[in-house]
Amino acid sequence: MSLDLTVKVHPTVLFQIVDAYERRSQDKARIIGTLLGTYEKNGVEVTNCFCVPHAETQEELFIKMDFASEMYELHQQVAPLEMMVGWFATGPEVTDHSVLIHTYYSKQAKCPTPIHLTLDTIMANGRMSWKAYISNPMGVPGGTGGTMFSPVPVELVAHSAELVGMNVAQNTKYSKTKTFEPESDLSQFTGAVRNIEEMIDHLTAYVDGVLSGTTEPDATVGRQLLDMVHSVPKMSQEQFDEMLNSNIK
Amino acid sequence: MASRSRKGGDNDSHITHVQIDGLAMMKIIKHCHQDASTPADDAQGVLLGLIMENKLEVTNCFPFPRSIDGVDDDRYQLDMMRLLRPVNVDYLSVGWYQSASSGNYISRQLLESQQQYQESIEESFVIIYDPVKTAAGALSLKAYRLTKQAMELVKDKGYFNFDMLRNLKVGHENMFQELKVVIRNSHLVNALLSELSEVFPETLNLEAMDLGTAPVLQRHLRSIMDCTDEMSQFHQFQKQTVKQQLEKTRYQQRRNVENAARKARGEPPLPDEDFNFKPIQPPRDLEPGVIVGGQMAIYCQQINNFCSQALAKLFLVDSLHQNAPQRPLGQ
Repeated sequence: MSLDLTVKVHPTVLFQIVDAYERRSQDKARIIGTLLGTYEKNGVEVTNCFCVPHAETQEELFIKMDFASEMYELHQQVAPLEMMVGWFATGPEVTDHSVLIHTYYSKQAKCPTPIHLTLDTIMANGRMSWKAYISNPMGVPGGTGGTMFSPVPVELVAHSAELVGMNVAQNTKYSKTKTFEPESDLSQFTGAVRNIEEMIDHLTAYVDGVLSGTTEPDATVGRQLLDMVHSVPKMSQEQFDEMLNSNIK
Repeated sequence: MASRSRKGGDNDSHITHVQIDGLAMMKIIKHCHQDASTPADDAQGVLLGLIMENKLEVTNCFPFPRSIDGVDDDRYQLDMMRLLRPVNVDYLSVGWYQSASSGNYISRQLLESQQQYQESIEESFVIIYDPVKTAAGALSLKAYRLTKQAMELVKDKGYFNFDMLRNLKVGHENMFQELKVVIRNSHLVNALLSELSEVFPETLNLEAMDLGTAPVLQRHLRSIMDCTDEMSQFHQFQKQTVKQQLEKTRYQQRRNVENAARKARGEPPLPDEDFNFKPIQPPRDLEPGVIVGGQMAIYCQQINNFCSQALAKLFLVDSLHQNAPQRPLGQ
């Protein structure tokens, strides 16, 4: 298996993991589930997931695999292109049982290298972080072999509509009731205009600073500013008015 | 811009708004954008959640497979709900969602599906998600229910005809009732969002600044043209009725004049014959009249919204050009 594998995760997957974690039954410390996605050159793109009930104690591990395969079939009906690409677990680290679950997935799922994704929902370091691993066999030839989970770089990707959805959802952080009402179109537009205004304010402050000698001029920033100013198409006032009026008509 | 008529009918239910979890919203977005190239127009799915005192909560959702032959919808739904129970997902289906690019969602099929849902669960509603508009920068997620009159209308499952429309006083304005949509996230999800905001810096919604107005307008106009074609039968009927009405009045007047003339001459007035105008048959199916009419109203309103934004953008850029000569470089 290639070690330059990159795992691309969509934010929807993380949302689902957190939600499933919140809904777990009392006796479980962590939850596991299947990751669905597609394979591409040098990487895996994880687009969906579902939780699988399981029970684990110090000694034994029990996963409802028939549940997993039924659920997978149902998902296949909606999205035939999504395949099992691995599994996820919540919690800060990889445990012993993870090895078992991982071997199971590599046999069961028809995927060559299952990805193991962990999402640290209990925030051991004060941050919710996510990591992905693949398993590599290790050991001395002729001796007892073992498997090792080696981390793989994770990248978050989202397409424009997902970004829009996330931006709207971001606003719930700022309200006491954790709710947020999406605004009407025109107010979203004014919000965007306000953002641009802020950006321009920053820029003019910076330029003023450089001109008066208080701020260090930075060549790259200067060049980018120049590009930006030049990208405004050069049109005389009358030409522009004419274009504006004809567009309005 | 002119305000449109409020879509509302009889509202006797106490539901004031719909509360959607961020998770459900993301899943809807994901499902409707699945086919990477074209946003699917008929992506549908079920919404799961709870009904609280004055709001409907949507906590999760799952997509429906497209109806290809051999896929049994009911079976799929039952299986899915059964499987979601062990993971403690709410299993009460409170409604369904559908994707509709540029707002073209009013169809007979939607009315019937919604009516079925509302029969079984009174507060159920449909969420319409507009993938095209969302990708352009403005999240478009709206919740609708059928008003009581509309329910009656669709219940008969037959063709709409004049009497029904007249009795129930249903027009396209009061078929749907729109509900406010609120997004909600739990604390843990908010923590996740804080993490995500470092990866995806809260983008400044630059797509909303796009000046390209032509394609969107073209698309809307084309849809309106299609709608007008569908309504042609209805229009013809209207024209004919009006023409016939005119002729009747003219005939009546002529007779009156003649009668007056005859009276003046002392002859008996002509008997009042029956007007031998055969009544024009209204088109049997007035469905286009209501449904397509409603659809066109939506398109027009969208164009209104869109044009107001486009004008604002154009004026912004205009001011940019105006200021240019006033600030010589190097100052």
